[in-house]
Amino acid sequence: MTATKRMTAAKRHRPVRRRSDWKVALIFLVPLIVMYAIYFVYSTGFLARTSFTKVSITFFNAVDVGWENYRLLLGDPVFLRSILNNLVFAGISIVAALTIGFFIAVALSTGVRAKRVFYVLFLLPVLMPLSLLATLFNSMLQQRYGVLNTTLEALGLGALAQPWLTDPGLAFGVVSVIFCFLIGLPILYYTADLAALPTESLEAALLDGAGPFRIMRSVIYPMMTSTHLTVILSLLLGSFRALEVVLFSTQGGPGDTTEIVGSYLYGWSTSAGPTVGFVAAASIVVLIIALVISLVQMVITRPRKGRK
Amino acid sequence: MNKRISATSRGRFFVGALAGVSALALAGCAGGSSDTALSEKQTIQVWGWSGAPGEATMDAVIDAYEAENPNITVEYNEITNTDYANKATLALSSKQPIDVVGVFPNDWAGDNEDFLLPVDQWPGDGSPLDGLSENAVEQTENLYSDGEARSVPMYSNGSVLGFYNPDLLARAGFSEPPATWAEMEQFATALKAVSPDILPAIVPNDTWLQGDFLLTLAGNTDPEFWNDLRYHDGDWNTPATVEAFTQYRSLFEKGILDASTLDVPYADAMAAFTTGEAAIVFTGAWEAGLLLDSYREANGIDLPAVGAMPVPADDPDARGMRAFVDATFGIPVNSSHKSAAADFIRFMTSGDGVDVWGPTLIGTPALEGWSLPDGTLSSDVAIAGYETIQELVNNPNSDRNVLSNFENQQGSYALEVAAGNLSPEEAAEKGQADLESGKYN
Repeated sequence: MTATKRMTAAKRHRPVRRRSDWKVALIFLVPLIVMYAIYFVYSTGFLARTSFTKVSITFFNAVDVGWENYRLLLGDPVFLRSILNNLVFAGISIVAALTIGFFIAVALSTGVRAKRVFYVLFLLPVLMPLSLLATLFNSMLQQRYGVLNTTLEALGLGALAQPWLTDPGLAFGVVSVIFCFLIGLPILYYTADLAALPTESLEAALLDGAGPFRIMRSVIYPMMTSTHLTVILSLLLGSFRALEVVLFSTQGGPGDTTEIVGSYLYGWSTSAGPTVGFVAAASIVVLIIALVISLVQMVITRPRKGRK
Repeated sequence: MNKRISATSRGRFFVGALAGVSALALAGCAGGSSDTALSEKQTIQVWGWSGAPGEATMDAVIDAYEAENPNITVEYNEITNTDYANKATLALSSKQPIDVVGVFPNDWAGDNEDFLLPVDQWPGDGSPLDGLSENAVEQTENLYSDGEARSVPMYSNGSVLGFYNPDLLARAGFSEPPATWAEMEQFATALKAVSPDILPAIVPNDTWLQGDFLLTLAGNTDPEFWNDLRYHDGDWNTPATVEAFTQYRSLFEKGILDASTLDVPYADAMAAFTTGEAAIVFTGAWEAGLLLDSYREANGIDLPAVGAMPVPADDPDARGMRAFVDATFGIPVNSSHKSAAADFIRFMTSGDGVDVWGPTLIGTPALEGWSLPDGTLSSDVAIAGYETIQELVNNPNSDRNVLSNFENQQGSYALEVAAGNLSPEEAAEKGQADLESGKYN
């Protein structure tokens, strides 16, 4: 077939865009648009409007206070600390997922024995309610009655028994560990992508004499950039919803050492008095932070011109 | 039959239909504020929060009421106290069919006052507040912006006081509970000498109770401190507060309290006491059921006796606590069973119902002159403990009219002071900054 004929054939098979297409598309999109308008646009607008008022959960007698709630919020060291903690806990869990999680996923995909048992072991913490997991940690780590310290003492290692939940540094470590405990989901992401990995590159690396760790580090890891980004984004945004982790393990304490945005908002939203406007302002700030994170992710992962 | 309908007939039909629809609509609208006569068969919906007075007690009260009023069925919906504020408000604002609603005796009452029918508009003869203690009525009225009661007090309670195990006190050579901190220190030293694994005393680490304990210590130094702050724009950073933080830390340094219990939550602290691992637990008067043999037996608590004591002070005459109405009940404006609701609340607060729940010791009844039936308490220790609780609740240092979020924050500072992470002066300053920030009021 000549080039001219091929072009003609291509033109013939190119779908013709009709004017009525957008109407059809609209019919399919309308339910989604309506749902979106109700659940997201309206609720966000309501939240934004409420954030400029001083009002209780009854929404009676709302007083317009302008930017006062935002002034209070941004001048509150506990709120600022909770945002910082959120990002730090997310950062720690991301590092754990990109290293330990990735390693476990690759190791399990190599056909180790009883790999299903291992999958269950690593996924179990994710499948369990977070509140239960955090409560278990709280119970195990109590200084006097916790299983960890009593076991250490029974083994003659009483010197290692620590005030895990009341020492600021240790409590921070405990919450970090619980966040890292949830690497089951990243392992799932990696496992799914590993199955779709082109084998030619691995075979080539093997033929070139690369060892397993070299293949993992120099071949597989770089090939999974999109999975890494998915893991990073999901853990980062997920950390803003990790209320139970903190609430049931340390309650944000000691002091405000382990406070995160979720526990901060929960504390204010469940108190009596005109705090709903303040909570709404905090929610708007958190929403903006989450949006910025999403935008950064979109910019990083967008397909660039010229890139194949 | 003529199938054709004339224009006139159509017009009549339309007008009739319109009238019918309008009547139905009006009936629907009016349904919210209508009332069902007390003599009619009906079911009323009662909402309350856990522990006030608790589902088992409420069921007993309901059984007694239904026995007296066979045409009225009472359905009780108990919600966890931590979830109650938001759930009840949302239920009231969405006009759910609630006829009797538990009203938190704090800012929540004022926040929700527009949903509640003023007590002087309740159906029935006489005021439901008649016969109740003047103090409880006044505290209830002060919950509302215009001083007009929209709920009726059921009982009062106070916090903090100690419940003690007389056997463990005796083991340390004490026949009476320690009255001063110096005596407490002697007791702690003596107990550790004979039973080093047993804690002399424990305070649950929940921040609300830590705040309560701190305020009890401050009240023992300056009884007017909390009322000044609550009602007269008083400061938080006062000598009484600094003294309270300082004293709290010293309790750990003297071995009266143990730093290893700073992470022990309420349920575990109570378990430590009821299993004999702690000699004294500091909590609120709502745990007075511990004095009852029947309560201990029902809950598998293997302690032969339990007594109650005030929180010690340097001066034994200064010992006191904060107390306030603890459970009040109101009628939503939209209730369609107001007569039955008012009758049920009367039964519970000033009628025969008091004899049902009063002996459980869940609180000090607001009903003037009510006394515990003879034989309810079996030991001298329990009888003395009950008298101590009555004395403390009826003669408090100040009102336990809580500022929940603010107090929780101060409770977290108390934990930090106890752990040595914060000095008493820093804690008091931080609390003052919290108070002035505008977030808590």
